[in-house]
Amino acid sequence: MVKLYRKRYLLFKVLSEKSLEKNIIRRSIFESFQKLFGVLDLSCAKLVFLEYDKEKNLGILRCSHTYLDHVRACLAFIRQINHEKVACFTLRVSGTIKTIREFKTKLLEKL
Amino acid sequence: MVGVVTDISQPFHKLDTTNLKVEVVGRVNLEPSSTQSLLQKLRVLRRKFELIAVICKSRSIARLAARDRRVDLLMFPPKTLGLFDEVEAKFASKAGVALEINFNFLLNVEENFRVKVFSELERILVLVRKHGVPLVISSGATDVYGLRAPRDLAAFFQMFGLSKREVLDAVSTTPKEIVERNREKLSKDFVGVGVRLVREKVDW
Repeated sequence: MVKLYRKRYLLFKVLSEKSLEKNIIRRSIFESFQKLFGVLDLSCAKLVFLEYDKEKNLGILRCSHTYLDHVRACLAFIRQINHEKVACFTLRVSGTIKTIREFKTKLLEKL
Repeated sequence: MVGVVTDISQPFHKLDTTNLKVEVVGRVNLEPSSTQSLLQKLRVLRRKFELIAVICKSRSIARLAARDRRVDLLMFPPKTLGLFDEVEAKFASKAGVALEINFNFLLNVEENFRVKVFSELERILVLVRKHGVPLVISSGATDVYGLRAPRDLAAFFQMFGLSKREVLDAVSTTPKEIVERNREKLSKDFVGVGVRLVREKVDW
């Protein structure tokens, strides 16, 4: 069967003074995307919030490969969550969840 | 590469970043009130700093800064983006002065005003491509929370019709070239454009 879209997995880091809850991060990413590109693009991007490590502030997102730049841009536009200054960075992009998890493990070993 | 904006009244001390894999560049952002004041500051500061940026808040200053080869970067705050027009682009392209787009300016702009700023930005980037003005994209961070990943910045500016190559050059190659060019000019061995002192004459 032909794939409807190619997936991209993004490993991202949230820089903040306090550790933030998974749901708050998820909401702010979706809000940022919707504010920048609208509901239609959000649905086309197939954006999925997969996981978030509250202690290490690392998370994984999945999206369609055609909307990868949109997701990166929306992450860059997040500057405040719950009146706290934050910065979101993309650390790595991959086509498979396995590679991104391996990279995350290696990164955590280094830290 | 991190451009550290310094106080011009005090000498610039380079930070020790040998173990950090970060290159620090001393830069000064000039915000002159008149063209005379800009010329005066350029005369004094050009030989002291590796990067000189001019924040253009009036047309006369923007025109002068675009024509002056001593200026490295032109910066336009969101409210004065309209000053960058066809003539300005031609001058900047001819003198090799780069246009710096500061992401921090876009981030801190009011929600209602953001639409206007984005449309102005699109117009400006068309002019930049048309006239071949060097483009620099920076985070403009004043603290750690203002920093952004270069590829994230590039991804955002790709939305305005720039190619991947162009945006990646704007976050990496172009700023590096400007700094290297200026470092060469500031070195003791520099004689003129394309002329460098290799070794001094030794009397036998």
